[in-house]
Amino acid sequence: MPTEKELLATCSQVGNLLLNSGAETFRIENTIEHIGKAAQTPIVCYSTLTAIFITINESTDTLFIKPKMGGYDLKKVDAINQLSRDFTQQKINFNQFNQAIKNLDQTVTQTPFTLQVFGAGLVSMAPMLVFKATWTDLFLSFFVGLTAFIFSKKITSYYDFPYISEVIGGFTIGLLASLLVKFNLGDNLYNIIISSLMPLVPGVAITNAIREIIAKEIISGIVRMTYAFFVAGAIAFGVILAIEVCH
Amino acid sequence: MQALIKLVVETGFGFISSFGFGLLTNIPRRALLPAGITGAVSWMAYCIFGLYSQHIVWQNLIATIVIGYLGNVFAQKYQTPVTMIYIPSLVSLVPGGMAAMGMKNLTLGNQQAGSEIISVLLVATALAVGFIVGEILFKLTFPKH
Repeated sequence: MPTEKELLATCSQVGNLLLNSGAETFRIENTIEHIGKAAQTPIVCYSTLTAIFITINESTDTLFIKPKMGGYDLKKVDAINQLSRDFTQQKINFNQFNQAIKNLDQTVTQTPFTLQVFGAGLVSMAPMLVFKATWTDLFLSFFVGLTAFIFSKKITSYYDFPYISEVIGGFTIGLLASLLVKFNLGDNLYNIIISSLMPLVPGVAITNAIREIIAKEIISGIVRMTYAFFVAGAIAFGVILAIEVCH
Repeated sequence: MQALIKLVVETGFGFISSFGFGLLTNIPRRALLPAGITGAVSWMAYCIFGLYSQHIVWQNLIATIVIGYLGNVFAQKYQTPVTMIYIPSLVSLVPGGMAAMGMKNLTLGNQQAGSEIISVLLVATALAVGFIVGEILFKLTFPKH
């Protein structure tokens, strides 16, 4: 049976990983409380998007984690979910669970970057515009969205300026779309822009925000929604900048 | 006949956009296909319903009810948490483009920006509510076994 310190350390790692991979608040709270139940120590967990509090009921130890808001890595969420389910059903013991969590970064394979880029290109062909925009526009937005995705991901590895990756993404889209229309390869500027924006815009974040507000996690919902609107604003800023530069 | 071809093409695009977003957000292999199928079927529901209704809120509501129902069916069948199937299927429905263009109009001082942002919030609420209704319908028809 783990000591309280070990349990808190493991829970803090689990909470950190889950939050950085885009899990919802109720999933984080449920997972950590299930881990506590499986280790036969009652744990109470409260999580928002910017902080997680974990405390063991009988003692005065409280752990407080301050993670950074990240993107989505659903494979990690799935792996942690599976591990915690195995632990709750007593298929693995605590030490194995701890070891597996520590090795999670190595065992969970990231989809190779080329495949992610291809996925971004596929998403850039928005179904909303299928019969409203010309086929050339949709075909071009595959490449525009792809390039913008590559740039926005590579920039984050160099600078840590807030929202810079979204501004760069929007700027790339605006620039490429304006150039394509200028050289008469593309037909409608705004159709290409809206379609290529699809992989970057935080639409999922907005919907998850409303889902959390409905589930009474109002703090996380409002945090997520404000963040989503600011990201959308940063993208729009990048697009406007590019359009102004090209005209 | 023309309408049928149109529907097939739209469903195809729904599949590839959900599949692409699944690749992007790194969902496990076994969830890629059900996510694509759920996205395709919900987009098909969106299109069909769009022919009868003028307001986008109803279309999104029906499409998300489909996601909620099918997503839970596949989640149980393929043993994945339902979030992995639901997030990629949403991507074709979410008002991402509307949100970005709304913010753009807002910064340029256009009058219609106000109505676009409200539309974004309404659609997002419809999406969230639709998913919950879909889950409820699933729990009614497949009681816990």
